[in-house]
Amino acid sequence: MSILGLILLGIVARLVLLPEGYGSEGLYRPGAVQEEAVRAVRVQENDSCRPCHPLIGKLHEQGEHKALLCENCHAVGGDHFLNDMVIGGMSSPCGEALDGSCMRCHRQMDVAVDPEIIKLIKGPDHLDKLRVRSDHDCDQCHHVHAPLKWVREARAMVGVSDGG
Amino acid sequence: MAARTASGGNGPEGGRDADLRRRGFLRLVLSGAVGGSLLLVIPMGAARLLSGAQEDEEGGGTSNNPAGRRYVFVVDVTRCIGCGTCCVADRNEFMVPDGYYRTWVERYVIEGLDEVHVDSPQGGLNGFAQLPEACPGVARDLFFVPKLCNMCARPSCVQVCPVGATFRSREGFVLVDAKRCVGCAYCVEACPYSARFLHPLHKTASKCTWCFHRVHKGLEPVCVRACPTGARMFGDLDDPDSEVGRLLSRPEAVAVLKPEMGNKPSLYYLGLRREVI
Amino acid sequence: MTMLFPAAVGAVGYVFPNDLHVHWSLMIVLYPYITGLVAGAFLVSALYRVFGVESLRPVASFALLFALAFLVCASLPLLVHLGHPGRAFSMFLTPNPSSAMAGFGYIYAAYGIVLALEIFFLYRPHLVERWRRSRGVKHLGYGLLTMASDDLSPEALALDRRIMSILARLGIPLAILLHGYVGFIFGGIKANPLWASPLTPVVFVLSACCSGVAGVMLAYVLLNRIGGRPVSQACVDTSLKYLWGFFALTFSLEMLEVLFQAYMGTDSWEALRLLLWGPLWSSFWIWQVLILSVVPTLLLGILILGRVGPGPRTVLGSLSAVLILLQVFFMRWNTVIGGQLYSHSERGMVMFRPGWVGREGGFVALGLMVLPLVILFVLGRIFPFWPREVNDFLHVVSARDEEPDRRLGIGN
Repeated sequence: MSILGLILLGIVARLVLLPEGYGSEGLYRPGAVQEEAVRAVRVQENDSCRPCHPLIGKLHEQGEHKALLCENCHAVGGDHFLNDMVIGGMSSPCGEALDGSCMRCHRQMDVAVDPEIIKLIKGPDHLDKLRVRSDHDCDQCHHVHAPLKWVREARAMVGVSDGG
Repeated sequence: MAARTASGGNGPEGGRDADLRRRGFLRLVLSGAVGGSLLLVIPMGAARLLSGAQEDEEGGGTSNNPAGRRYVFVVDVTRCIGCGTCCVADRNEFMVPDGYYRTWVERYVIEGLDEVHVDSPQGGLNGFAQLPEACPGVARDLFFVPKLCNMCARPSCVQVCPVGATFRSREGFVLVDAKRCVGCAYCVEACPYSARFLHPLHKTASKCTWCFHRVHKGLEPVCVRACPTGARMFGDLDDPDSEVGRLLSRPEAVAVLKPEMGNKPSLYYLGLRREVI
Repeated sequence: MTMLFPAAVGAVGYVFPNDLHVHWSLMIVLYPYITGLVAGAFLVSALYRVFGVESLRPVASFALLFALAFLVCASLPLLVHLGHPGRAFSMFLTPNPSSAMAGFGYIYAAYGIVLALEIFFLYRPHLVERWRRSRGVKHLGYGLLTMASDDLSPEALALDRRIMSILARLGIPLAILLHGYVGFIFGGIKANPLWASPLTPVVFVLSACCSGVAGVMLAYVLLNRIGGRPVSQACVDTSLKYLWGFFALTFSLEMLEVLFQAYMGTDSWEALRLLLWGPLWSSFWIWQVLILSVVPTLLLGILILGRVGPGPRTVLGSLSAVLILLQVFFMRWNTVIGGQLYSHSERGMVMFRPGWVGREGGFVALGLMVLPLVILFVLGRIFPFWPREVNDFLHVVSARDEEPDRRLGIGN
């Protein structure tokens, strides 16, 4: 009798104490999947920047950096814009920080990378070769959102072909 | 337990009466013990029975996976330039505390035939501007290898979690139920890839989710999106239009990490060298 | 943060970034140590109760109380270690059948029930006696402990004996299971070359027997010396023999594991070699092997085979027990901590030194080792340790305790 009672108690305890839906999909609480699914997306797509930054957006879209996320260089969208409201500033690296941002990807190391994938440079060599002062920042020749825009324009002006 | 309150201080009682008392008492003690054990065991049995359908954890596209998707992650080692942008993006997306890594990038410098120097300063978060310290000779080869959760079809972490707080979802994502994790770190010890850690603030296990929340909303994982060279790729293997589908259907050498562990990762590498562990 | 998860104090070679944290520290060293004492002490009692080793009779009851005192504390290091101790009950509610750790709740509870019942039946006559004599709160307390049954008729006591003998037999596999599964938790981790071995659970069980025999014997000698009671030389000698036997087996298997790995010389040996000749050099070779294994093995050999007087035998035997108790602790340390020092990168190791302060620090560990002794002291107030005293209360029992044929023999 008492054993039967305890079995009953066990079943009731199970119903009360077990997490909702546990075992229905597997040995886990299905709610956990849902909770992970609704986690906030913090790093945004570039489309979410364009409505407020149309000019830069357009420039960026046409340049060599078009595949890059705005947030690769500009902190996190989720900390900047939320529910149609600007909630915080964004950072734009300049000076040495900007050079650092560029060189993060473009620094030539001993790794063999297909030049089609990315253009790699050795900092001083690149400036020497182009006879530019060594303390120049990258954005003095390159528009960061469309890196070759000014270069192409300058070349067009002096009539040099794109290959050089 | 006080069902039979005997009056204390009585001397030994006569035969039959004592026998009855004895039996009643024994029944009480033993049924208490047996019943107590049953009480503990019942929930286990019931939960097990209810979940009978989930026996086969391997492979996707089964009845467990109504969407029929087989998500895979592909890393092309030959395209990785070691910029660490993926690591920064991951940190931004998940606000990972310092010193803990959902994903990281390793640099391999190989000298001569077999001298291998590996490093990953801050998990590659700041790129690899400096040459590795212990590397005096001339490098024969240098390459970068991004690491993240392998989303195993037979995950060690799921096997060892004592409470079912880490699990493989129907779509094949190995996830952590942060509301149920007890923080024992058994999964951290069991993962052959060291992809897991105990979150120092939440005190629960944490790891890369392949950005399940983004994938659920139709976005790419944040590291895939942030990668400037397309070294990280993600998609549905069975979707012929997906990049991973095309890549993995070509006769290319595709490797997984530590295949001898038998975990059957869903993270594949293109151009992986034998030095990579 | 650093207190919760002590970061490693340094790294050699390339370590996976997440491997810089040693997640299982002192508490997880203590846990198998304490369960080992629990399992081992029970086996001491079983040697007398089931296997009929008469000379261990003086410690047979004490061993059970010793086991209970440590059993009560066995889950504490785990709870201290858990990030969310409040969720620990999930191990009962939703145990993952594929996890070795999920067995903990069930094995622990089942063993606890058996041990508690065994002690209950063993001390029932004594408790009933106290219940009858005492007044007030004490009367109520003893009433609860006896579960309100005062039946001490010969038939009832005979039944008690039968139940106890069944429980003692049931307890042996449970005690082995209790500690064997702890070894399995480590042994089954394929990702860790230091742990992954079918020998791991076996070594754990055997070293548990060593710590149990050593712990019970040491406590027996110390408590009786302090209390000015005579110490049974036969009991000490038998304990030492079992200790020697169990320890020789344990030590051989521990060395076998290393030798076997070295002989095969696979990748996992490379890992083991780097560890044993690296961060574990002094804690493994100097302490665990040389000072705490070779020395007590030789010492026990001399005590058992040589001509040493009873006095020095007891003193040096107790010293060996201390060394072996430490050996088991070092073995747990080298396994639990050592295993985590080798990174899954297979290219590097971390150094680790736990702090004294913090939730998983040395002071808490010391506290957790002292607590069972306090509980044992309290238990001793209710359940007398030594059979002589027990027998004073159990005079009715002890007359019937003898096997019928032997009683006949005495009668003749």
